[in-house]
Amino acid sequence: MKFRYATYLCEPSAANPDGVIVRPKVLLNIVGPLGDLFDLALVDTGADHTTLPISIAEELGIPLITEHTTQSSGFSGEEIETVPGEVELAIVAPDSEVRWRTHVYFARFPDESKEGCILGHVGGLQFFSAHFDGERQELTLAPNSKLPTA
Amino acid sequence: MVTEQAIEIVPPVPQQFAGKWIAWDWKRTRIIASGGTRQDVRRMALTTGEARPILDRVPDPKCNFLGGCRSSL
Repeated sequence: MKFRYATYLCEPSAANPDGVIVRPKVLLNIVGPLGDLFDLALVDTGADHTTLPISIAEELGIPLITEHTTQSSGFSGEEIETVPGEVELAIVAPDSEVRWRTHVYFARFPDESKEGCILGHVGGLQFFSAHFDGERQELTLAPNSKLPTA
Repeated sequence: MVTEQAIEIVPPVPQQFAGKWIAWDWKRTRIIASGGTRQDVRRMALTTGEARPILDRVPDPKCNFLGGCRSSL
């Protein structure tokens, strides 16, 4: 499956003279007992876990394993609460999709406007071989032998 | 034989949406809703008749993203 990086226009600056932000994102179908939805998820090889907003778990009725609640942090070290839950995920490309069932973390963001979906190693990238082409701004994902069934 | 994989060409997100949540239509040709939170934008998108809106948070160029989550386990 091949994906063009998502492209966002912004004001050119000294650090970003092109005025463009590009991010490798994939279309993620998230399925729970109450339905499903589609979000663009950042493909982040530096993220330990696949992490989704807790509001998605609430909307889709996904049971959370609260006794395994933990903290997660980004580069700055600021911690947020994350709770694991089991979910069905699919990466959707124009000509195909890959679907699997896994445990991911659901993050309780202090500011709802800052929520986001990250396809990290556990629950996501561990099941794929990935090639990032910075020149063409394309990401290629191929499922590997570790991919569980949905 | 090398088979060319299909790739979706999606238009760039205009600057006016910086820092906001947006909803694309299913074909990702049009932005059909935008706002401050994911849930609000999803609700707005569904009222347009789009059954499968695609949600995305647009980067805020005034706040660079420096990486994803690290579990404390």
